[in-house]
Amino acid sequence: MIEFKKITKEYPNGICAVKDVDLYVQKGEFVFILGSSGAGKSTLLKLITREESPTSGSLIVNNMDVLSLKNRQIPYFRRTMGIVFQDFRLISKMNIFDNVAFAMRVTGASERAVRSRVPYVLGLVDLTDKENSRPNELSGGEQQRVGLARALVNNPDLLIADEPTGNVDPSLSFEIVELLNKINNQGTTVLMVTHEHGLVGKFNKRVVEIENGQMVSDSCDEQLASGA
Amino acid sequence: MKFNSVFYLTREGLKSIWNNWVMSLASTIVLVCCLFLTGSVVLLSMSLNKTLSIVESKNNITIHLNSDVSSEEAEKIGKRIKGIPNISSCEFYSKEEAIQKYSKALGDLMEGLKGEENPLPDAFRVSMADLSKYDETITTLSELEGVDSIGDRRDIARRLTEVNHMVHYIEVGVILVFALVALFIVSNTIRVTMYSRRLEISIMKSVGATNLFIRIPFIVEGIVIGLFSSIVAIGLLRLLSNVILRILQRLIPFTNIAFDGINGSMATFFLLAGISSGFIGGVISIRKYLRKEAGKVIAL
Repeated sequence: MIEFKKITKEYPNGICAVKDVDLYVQKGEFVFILGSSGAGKSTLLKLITREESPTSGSLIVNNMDVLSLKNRQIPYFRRTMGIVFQDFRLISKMNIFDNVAFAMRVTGASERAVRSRVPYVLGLVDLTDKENSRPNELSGGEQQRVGLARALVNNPDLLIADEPTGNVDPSLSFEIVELLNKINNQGTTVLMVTHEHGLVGKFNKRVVEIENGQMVSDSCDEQLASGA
Repeated sequence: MKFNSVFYLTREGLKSIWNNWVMSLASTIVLVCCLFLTGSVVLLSMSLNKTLSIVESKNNITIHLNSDVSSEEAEKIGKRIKGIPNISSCEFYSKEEAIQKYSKALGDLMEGLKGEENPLPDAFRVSMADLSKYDETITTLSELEGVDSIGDRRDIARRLTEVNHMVHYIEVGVILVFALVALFIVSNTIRVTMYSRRLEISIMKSVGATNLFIRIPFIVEGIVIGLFSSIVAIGLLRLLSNVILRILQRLIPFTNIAFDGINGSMATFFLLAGISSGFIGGVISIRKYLRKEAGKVIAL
């Protein structure tokens, strides 16, 4: 699903955000990427979505060699993944239905497909009755669920969540991750970036910890090590 | 691109004009001004050209006779004129005909001047076979007995040609300058629209919209603004040319000044100019945004 091989990303200003990262995520996995701010988590995600290109190394996402993608292929590459943002990024002048439908429409989906798919996805995140509300009429947790619905609407193989609980009431954070878990159980690979140790501890999932751009621990390896 | 996408994108473009109506209005006004001024210069140049060609085509010269020349004498003069080698035709134009023409244009004003009171002289209308012998022929004609004066249009033609050249240079300059201004204005409007929609653009990018898809609503916006502006400008120019024509007709009743309003090909040119400035403006202004990635678009 995702294969980082000796990936290094150095920005033009000399800052090395990611150093020699090797990471392998299998299809259907749920992985937390844990690290404090500035550790290089966001850069890692940007490398996966091809917002940034690595300085060296090789990277395969959804069976595609990210580095050899041509510019015109990038949009189609991104359609294979869904992204959830920390700041929701909902369009305030559109209602909830349209916010979710937007992601479908921009990929050229037919209006009929939109009408059948969007209500289903809104049902998944339990927001069927909010279809006609505006984003600012919803709570933070609800807004993030809309963001989640939007990420899911194109039925991606990979779901990337960038600090999805960062702007959500702590009591509702659990609910969001639970929802991600539910989605994961249906076969979607989930990659969630967070700095909340406590939240991660509540779920028995693979945790990859990043510090200063380098991987410092991977619970998967530890399991293997303790098993051996 | 699928049909329903085209429909959706066009609607998005139209919505955006409405949502940013202040900017849309501002750029429409500037664009209308540009097109209007350009059109005025073009119209001016066109009518000058036409006037010139009319003046040139009328190589017939009017020879006014002395007022004391009797009709018998006039006939003799006519024969003598026909005898001059370079003269291809010679027509008698009586003072009665002349007064009738004037009174048609001026109405009652000429009523008392008919018959015996007619102050106009008899005249001959003469045209030449070879215009290069113009000056010699004029000299020969003026030496004839009983000839009072010769109405010569040559200097008018020469002056008109000079003015026409000048107007032509101005025309090209004006069109160039205004084309640039129009492009700048439209691309600026679209840039503002893009800025206000950068969140949408960043989301579009992150969910995998192609650049073409992101671009279309903005291009639609540019084209619609351009189209609308050119229609308004055409309307204004028509209005202006009608007013000028009426004023000219009142000032100089029988005149060679040809003043045309907007014609079909010019209107088409205008529509194309409006649409293309909208289109090019749209394309230019989004390029900057499309090169950036989602996260950077939003941080602008």
